[in-house]
Order: sequence, then structure tokens, then C-alpha cells
Amino acid sequence: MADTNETLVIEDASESFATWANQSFILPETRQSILKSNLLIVPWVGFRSLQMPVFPVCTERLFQFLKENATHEVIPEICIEDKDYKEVALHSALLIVGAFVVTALVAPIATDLISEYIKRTMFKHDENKIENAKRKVLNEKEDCPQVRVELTVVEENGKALKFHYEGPAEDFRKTINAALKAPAKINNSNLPEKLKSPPSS
Amino acid sequence: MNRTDVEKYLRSAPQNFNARKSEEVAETLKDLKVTAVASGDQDLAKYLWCLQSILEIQDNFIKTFSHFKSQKFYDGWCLLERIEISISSLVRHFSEVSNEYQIALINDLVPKYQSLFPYKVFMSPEILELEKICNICQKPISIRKPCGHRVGEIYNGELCIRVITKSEFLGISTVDSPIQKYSVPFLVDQKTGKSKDHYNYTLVKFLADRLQSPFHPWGVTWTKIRHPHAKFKSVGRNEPCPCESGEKYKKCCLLQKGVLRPHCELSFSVLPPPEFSNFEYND
Repeated sequence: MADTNETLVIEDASESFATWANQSFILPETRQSILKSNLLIVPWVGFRSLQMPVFPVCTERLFQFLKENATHEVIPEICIEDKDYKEVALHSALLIVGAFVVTALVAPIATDLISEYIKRTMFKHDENKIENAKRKVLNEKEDCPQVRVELTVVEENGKALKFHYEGPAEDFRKTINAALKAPAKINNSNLPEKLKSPPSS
Repeated sequence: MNRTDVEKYLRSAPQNFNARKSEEVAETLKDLKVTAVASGDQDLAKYLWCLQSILEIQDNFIKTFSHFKSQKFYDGWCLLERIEISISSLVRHFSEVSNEYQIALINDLVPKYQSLFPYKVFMSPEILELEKICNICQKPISIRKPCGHRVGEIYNGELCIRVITKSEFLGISTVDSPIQKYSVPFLVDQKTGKSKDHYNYTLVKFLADRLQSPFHPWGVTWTKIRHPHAKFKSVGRNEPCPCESGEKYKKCCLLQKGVLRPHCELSFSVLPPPEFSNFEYND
């Protein structure tokens, strides 16, 4: 069954907290911490042929935000050692929030949390009004703040679904929450190019 | 000069924009801030940073206006971006009362100016940030043991930012909505090897010629009107209609009294000088 809306694509996934905890760049102490978490920020591996795992720019701020604002049932963690932490700045207006692995139990709360982070980060919405009025007359695509998020939801039985979202920032929360209730999967082979990870700029 | 004098100076920007003495004001603010930090008054130091920021925004806005007047359009464009960034940092810490320092007006005019520019494509660099430090404590950024200084906050009267100390250039992309607006591509002159500005700044020039002060409000409205067919003589009857509908010209706008094209209307709160009071049709 295919979701024809390219803003959100859902596919089966084989990822879990364990697969990330067992990455070669993770040391034993961090491994335990990852396994205890239920909201994990994961890096891009193999981005632009880089030999190191990397995160989108501002992940430092995102991680601090999650730690400070998570309710008691959410345990955020990041899949990297301190010394290996690197960010990539793609310098596009698209906000690449990042990739997450989350348990099904806390997925709705995690979505709300990520949504709140997006809201606080996307402060330029009003400034687009004038440019959008012009674009509308010129028959050009409106400049809405766009975000990209990849969310892998792991169920208790180990099954996982990956939600690829790229679309308006303001629609992220309701789109993901609706999909969490009734996910419609598509095959990986049908995944739109723009949503395949690691993302291209 | 004391703090009250500085506040008065900043409030008088619409009157003093032609005779600024910003260096003296900047020096005063710097000294006041050193004293505030030394006495441990973080609130005052933060307030003085806000005044410094307001001074910078006003000066850049006045300079932008001057660039537009002297047709240095790209320079003005870059300054608009600087102003945008400064305002976004300032508004977190400062609530202006009734546009007393003109920040609300500048914030309203910056995107209006930007909408008049012809730039549509930008170059966007991709950078691998290998090492970063906090500008407040100079410590390297640690994801698990943060220094405690938050980006965007004010400490000792300074804005907290991250400074990239080691990076690698990964590539460059062409984008239509960039993070940095300054990255506008220009053509290169074959003879001199230098870049040349090939863009059409008619709208910005039209506006700048008619504005008498950077602090006079103005408005912009984008609509569509029918432009005379005489302007499209080079388009054949069987060619695509210049209105970009996808239809043939003869089956589209040629049947009407003109070609439906975008139209920009500028409105002025203060009448333009007599030599620029014409409102004739412009391409």
C-alpha cells in the first residue's frame, strides 16, 4: 500500500537501538546509555563519501533542547562519542532536523518534542509573507519554511517503520501523529529520491 | 556622552541619519559595558549590548539606503542580510516600545527591499565543521559535556555564538532559498576576468530615487496588470504567450487589450522630490 503524498513516506526498517549501539564508533559506556534510551539521534553514515559519521548542523542545540525539555518518560541520547562529533552545514533554507530512532511507546511525545524544537527554530515565517506575495503573482512556488526529519519507530516486538518527512514545518506534527495512528507503507524501491538518506542538499 | 545621551541619539535616527557620530556612541557604549561587566551587573551589560546592536542596525540601514542611492545594489543587498541577522538576535532580548529606535520599521522594510531584487538563484556551500568553540569561554564544543553557554544568549554583554576553528569544504549547490543571501552568482567579464553585475535593478533604483529618507515608510504590492502589446512586438503570434500561460500568444493575451504580466506597485508615505514625481510606465 503506497502513500502517494511525497511529504511523508513510510517504509519497513531493520534499524533498532541495538543496531546503532553496536556501531564500531560507539564505546561500551555509551553503548549502555544508548540501549537505555528511547529517543536516539542517529548520524548520517557515508554522507558524501565521508569516512566519519556526521550530523546536520545545529544537532548540538537539538540534543540540549531534547534533554532539557523531555518529560520523565522520554530518555534522549545521541549515537556518537564526544570526540567524534562533527556537523555538516548544507546552508539551505531547508531545516534538516536529523534522524531519530524512537520506541513506539514514546513516539507521539517525541514527535511533539521535535515539533516544538522546529517551532522555536523556524523564526522567520513572517518574513516570507512579502516574498510569497510576490512569488504568488509570478506563479512561483511559495517559500514556506520546510523541514526534513527521519523517524524510525521501533515496536516492542522489534518491528520498525521509518517515517521520512520533508515538507512544511507547520504540518510536521499533525502529519506524523496521523501516520503513527495509521501508517501506510511503501516499498523502499519506490522511495522518492529526495527522501532517501543520507540526504542530498 | 552618557547612557541617556546614547539613548537620545538612537531615538533621533530619523533626524540625524545625514550626520551620524556613531564612532563616539560606539566608544561610549563599549566603555559603559566594560564598567557594567566589572561591577557584575549582567542585566545592564545585556541592555548595553542591545543598544550596541541597535546602533549597528541603524548604521547598516542608513548605509544600505546610501548604497541604493549610489546604485551599489549588491552591497546594499548584503547589508540587508546583516540587518536581518542582527534583528533576529536582538528581538530575543529587547522589546521596543512604539518603534522608538526604528527597529520595527527597519524590520518591516528589509523584506520589502529584498522582494524588489532580481536575484533568484544562489550558491550554497556545504561545509564539514570539524572543530567549534564557544566564543564566551573559548572551550571546544562537547556534545555530552556542554560548556553551559547557549547560542543566542548574552553573557558579559556579548552574544554567544559558535566559532568554527577547523572545517572542510565539501561542495557547492545551487539553491533558490539560501541561508546566506549574499551568495549571489555573477557573470565573469571575459576580457578582465572580473565579475560583472548583470542583474536588472530597475525596481530598487526606482524606489531609491524617490525616497528622501531611509526612515520614510513605504509599501509594495505585487499584482498583475495588462501591459501594452507594443512592449511585446518581438513575440510572434504563434509563439508562447509572454504571460507564461503556456498558450499561444494569438489564443491568449493577443485577444485582450494587453499582456497579463506581474506588476509592482510602490506607495510612499512622503511624496518623492519633484524631479522624480513621474509615475510613468516602467518595464
